[in-house]
Amino acid sequence: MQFLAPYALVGFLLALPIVAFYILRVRLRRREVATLMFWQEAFQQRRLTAWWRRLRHLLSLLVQLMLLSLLVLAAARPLLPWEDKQRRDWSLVLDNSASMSTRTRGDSTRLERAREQARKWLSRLPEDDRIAILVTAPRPHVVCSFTTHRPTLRKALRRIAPTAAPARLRRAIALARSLTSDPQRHRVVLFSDGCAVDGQRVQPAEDLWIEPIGSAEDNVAITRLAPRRSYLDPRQLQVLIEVHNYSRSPRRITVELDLNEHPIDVMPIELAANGHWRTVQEYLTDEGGVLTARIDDGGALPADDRAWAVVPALRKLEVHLVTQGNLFLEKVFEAMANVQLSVSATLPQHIDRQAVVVFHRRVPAQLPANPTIVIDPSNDCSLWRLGGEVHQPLVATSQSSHPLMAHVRLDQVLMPQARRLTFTQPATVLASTIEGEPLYALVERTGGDVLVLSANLDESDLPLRTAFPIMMANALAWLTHQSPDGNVATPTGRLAEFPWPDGVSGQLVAVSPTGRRMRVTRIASDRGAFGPVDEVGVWSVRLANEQQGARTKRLALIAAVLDEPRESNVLATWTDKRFDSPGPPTRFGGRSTWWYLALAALALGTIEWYLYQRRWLA
Amino acid sequence: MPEPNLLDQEFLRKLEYLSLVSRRVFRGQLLAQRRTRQLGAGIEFADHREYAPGDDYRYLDWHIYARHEELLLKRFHEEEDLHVYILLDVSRSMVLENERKLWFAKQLAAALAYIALAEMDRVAIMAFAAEPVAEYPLTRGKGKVLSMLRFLQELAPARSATDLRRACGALVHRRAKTGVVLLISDFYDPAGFAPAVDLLRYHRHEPHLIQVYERAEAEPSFVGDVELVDCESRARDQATIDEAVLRRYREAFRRYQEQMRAYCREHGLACTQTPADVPFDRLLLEMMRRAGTVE
Repeated sequence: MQFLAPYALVGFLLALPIVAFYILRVRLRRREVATLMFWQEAFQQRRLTAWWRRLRHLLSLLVQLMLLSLLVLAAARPLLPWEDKQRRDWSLVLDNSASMSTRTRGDSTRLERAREQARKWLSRLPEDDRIAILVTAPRPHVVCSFTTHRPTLRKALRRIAPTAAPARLRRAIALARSLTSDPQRHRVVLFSDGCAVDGQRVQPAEDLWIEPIGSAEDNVAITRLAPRRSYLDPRQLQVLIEVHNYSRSPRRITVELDLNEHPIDVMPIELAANGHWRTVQEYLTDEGGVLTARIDDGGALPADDRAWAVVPALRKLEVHLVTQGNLFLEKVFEAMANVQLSVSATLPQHIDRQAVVVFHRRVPAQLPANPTIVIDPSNDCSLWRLGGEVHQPLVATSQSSHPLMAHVRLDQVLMPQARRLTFTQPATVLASTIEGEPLYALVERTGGDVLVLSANLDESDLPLRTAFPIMMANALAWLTHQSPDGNVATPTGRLAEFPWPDGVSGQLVAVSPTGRRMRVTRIASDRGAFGPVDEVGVWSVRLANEQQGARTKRLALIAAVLDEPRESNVLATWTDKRFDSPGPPTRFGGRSTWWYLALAALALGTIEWYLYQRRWLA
Repeated sequence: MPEPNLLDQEFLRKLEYLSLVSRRVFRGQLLAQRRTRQLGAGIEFADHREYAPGDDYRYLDWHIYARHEELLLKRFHEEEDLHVYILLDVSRSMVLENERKLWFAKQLAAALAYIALAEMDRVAIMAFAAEPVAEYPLTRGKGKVLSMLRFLQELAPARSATDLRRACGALVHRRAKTGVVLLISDFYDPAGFAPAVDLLRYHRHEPHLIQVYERAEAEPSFVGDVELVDCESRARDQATIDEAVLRRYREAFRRYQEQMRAYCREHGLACTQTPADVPFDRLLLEMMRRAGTVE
C-alpha cells in the first residue's frame, strides 16, 4: 500500500496526548457533597460496576484511537494496490481556438460547452487520478499541471479564455503526451470541434479520446483584406477584399469598408453555397490609418466578420537628381505623386539626410551618407571599380522574390550597353548578365543603402517599359522603408513584427483591442515583435512605463485578423460517431479510500458523541 | 460575601423591625405569646369537666347546676412563661463550600431569639453537630440580646456529622421545661429527622422545623465520573452521574422535603424549608404571615 501524502502519518503522534489524557482521566474527580443520602437513593436504580466503568474508559480510549487512526489514514491518502493499478493520468486538452467561439443554438459557445464537458469529466474521474489541463491556442500550453486537487483544476478551467487564434491540435496532443513518463497509464482527452489547421489528421487512439463539441454551423468570413498604394499613382489606394461563404445555402450580405471609422464603400454581394467573392477596389486618398472591412449577418462565428489593415499615409519623398540632363529620369520621378524632385548638375553642399540622391553617370569618389541610386556610373567610387563596357548584355537572372524586383520583368528589355562593375564591398546582385556581370545591385551600408543600375539608359528601351517606373518606385520604397503594400495584417496565432520606432530605446508593450498588455521584444536593431497574437483587431505599441488609461502615444499600429479558413469553416465540425469517447471511466463507488476512511471517522465520531451523551462512553 | 456580623447596626435594626411587626400585626401568633396548654388556677376560663369526688367546690359551675342539675367543674388556663429552645445545627454540612448556610441559620436563630426575648419569654440556644457543642443558657429579658448575639456570632462550625436525635435527646434529658423547640438545620442526618422530632414530641415540646439548604444541594448540575465524598462521614462513592441520575437525585431531595412537610402536617407542627440565598427578614415575615393565616 502506498500513501499519496505520507507526511500526514505524523498525525499518529497525537495518540500520545490521547493516551496521556486517558491515564489522567481514569483518576476520578473527587467532589465533596453535603450528604450522600440522596445520591445513594439516586444510584440505587442504576449503578455501574467498577469493572464496567474501567472497561468503559478503555472502550472510550479505543474509540478515540480508532477515530484518530481513521483520520490520519484518510489524511495520508492511502492507495491500495488495486487502486494503484487502476490509477490514470489524464490530460484534458481544450480547444480554445477561434472556431470554439462559435455560438451554437442557444446562447453558449463551443468553448463554454467544452468547459462544461471537461467539468463533468473532473467530477466523474476517480479522485486519485491526476489530471492536467492544456489549451491549444494561441500556442499549445499547460494551464494546470498534474494534480488531484479538483478545486485547482476547476479554477484553471474557469480561467481558460477564448482566443481568435487557430488551433494546432496535433501539437497540443504531442505536448500532452510529453507530460508523463508513463504512457501506459496516461490518457489524453481532446475537447474540440475539429475546426483546426490539422483537424482532419487527428484520429482517436488508445491513449487519445475525443469529445467532439458542437454541430455544423453556417458562417460567412472575410478571408482577406489587403490594401496597398498603387505603384503608378501612390495616391490610389488599392484594396483587395475576399469573402467566403461556409454555408449550406446561398447568402446575400453587405460588405462595408471604413477608413478611420469613416465609411468609404458599401458593397452588397451574393454568395453561392460554399462560394467566395473577391474584388479589388481603388480609392483616391492620401490618408493613412486603420482600414476596416465588415460584413453583416456573418453567421455563427463573429471573429471573422471583421478584418483590419493598417494603411500608411502618403508621405512626400525628397529626391535630388544629379545629372547633366536625362529626360527619362526626370519624368519618371516627376510622375510619382509622392516625390518632390530637385535637379542639379552637381551635388549641393547641404542636403537633407532623409533625401534620396540619384546620380546619373558622374558620381563623387565618396558617396554621400544618403539613400542613393546610381544610374549608369561613369567613374569609380569607394564602393566599386568601373570596368570595361559590356555589349548587348542579356538579363539572365533576376531575383524576382526581392522586394526591389517586385513586379519588375527585365527579360525582354533591350540594353545595348552597360558597364562592368567590381564591388569593393559585399553587394546583392538583383539582376545580372549571362556572364554574371551585375546589372542591378544593392550595396547595404549604414546611413543609406546604394542601388546601382549599370545600363546606359540613353541606349536602352528600359525607360520606355512599364518595368522602369515600377523599378524606381520599388527603389524609393526600399530606400525610404515605405512599402507601397502597406502593413499586411498579422494572422492570429503568429508573432507580430513591426519596425522599431526611431529614437525609442525603452521597453515597449503591445496593447490588445480589449486592453490587455503584452511585452514587446526587440528582435533586431530596427524590428520589434510580440505575440503570439490571440485577438483580432488593431493592436497598438506603446511605451511600457506610460500609465494605463492615460492618453498615450501609439508608436505603431498592427492589425490582426483570423487568417485560417479551417477555423472559419465551422461547417466542418466533427460529427462522425467514431469520435465519440466512451466517457470518463467509473470505479467501484467512484471514491478513493481516504473518502471512505473519512466517512467512517465521521460515523464513528457521531456514534461516540451519541454514546457519550448517554454516558455509555466516558 | 461580606464578613457576617450579627452585632452591626443594620442587623439590629432589622431585628427590631421584625420584633415590632411580630408584636403589632401577629400578636400572640408566632412564638411565645401563645399560652401553654397547662390548665390550672388561672383567671382565664378554659372549659368544663364533670365533677369527681374530692374536687374543690369553689370551681363548681353553680349556674349550670341551677339550670340543668348537672355538676360541672370550671377549668382555667394557668399562665406560665413560655420556654423557647433554639437548636442550631453547626455541623460540617452547614459550611461545605462557604458559610452562607450557617450564617443564614445564625441570622434566623438571632431574629427568633430577639423576638422571644422582646416578649419576655425565656430563650435557650443549643448549637449541635454530632452532639451539643455550645449552649446559651436559658435567659429572659431584652437586656440579654447583645450577649445572645455575641454567642451566635462567635459560634464556630464543628467538624463532625449531624446527629439530630442526640441533640434533641440532650435537650429532653436535662428535664427542661416543655416549650417551643426551633430546630434549625439542613436535616442531612442519615438516621432521618423523625426519631429526633418524635423524641421532642414525646416530651411534650412543640417542635418547629426550619430546613436551610443550598440550591446546588437541591438541584446539582455536575455530570461525569466522580468520586463523591460525604463531607461529614467521609464516606465515598464512585459513580457516573448523568442526566438520569441527576433527575433521580432531585426527586429524592424533593421526596425528603415532602416527607418532612407531611410529618409536620400529620402532627400539627410548623415546618419551614428555605434556600440560604433569600433575605432572612423576608423569610421571617413570610413565616409570620403563614403563622397568622394558619392559626
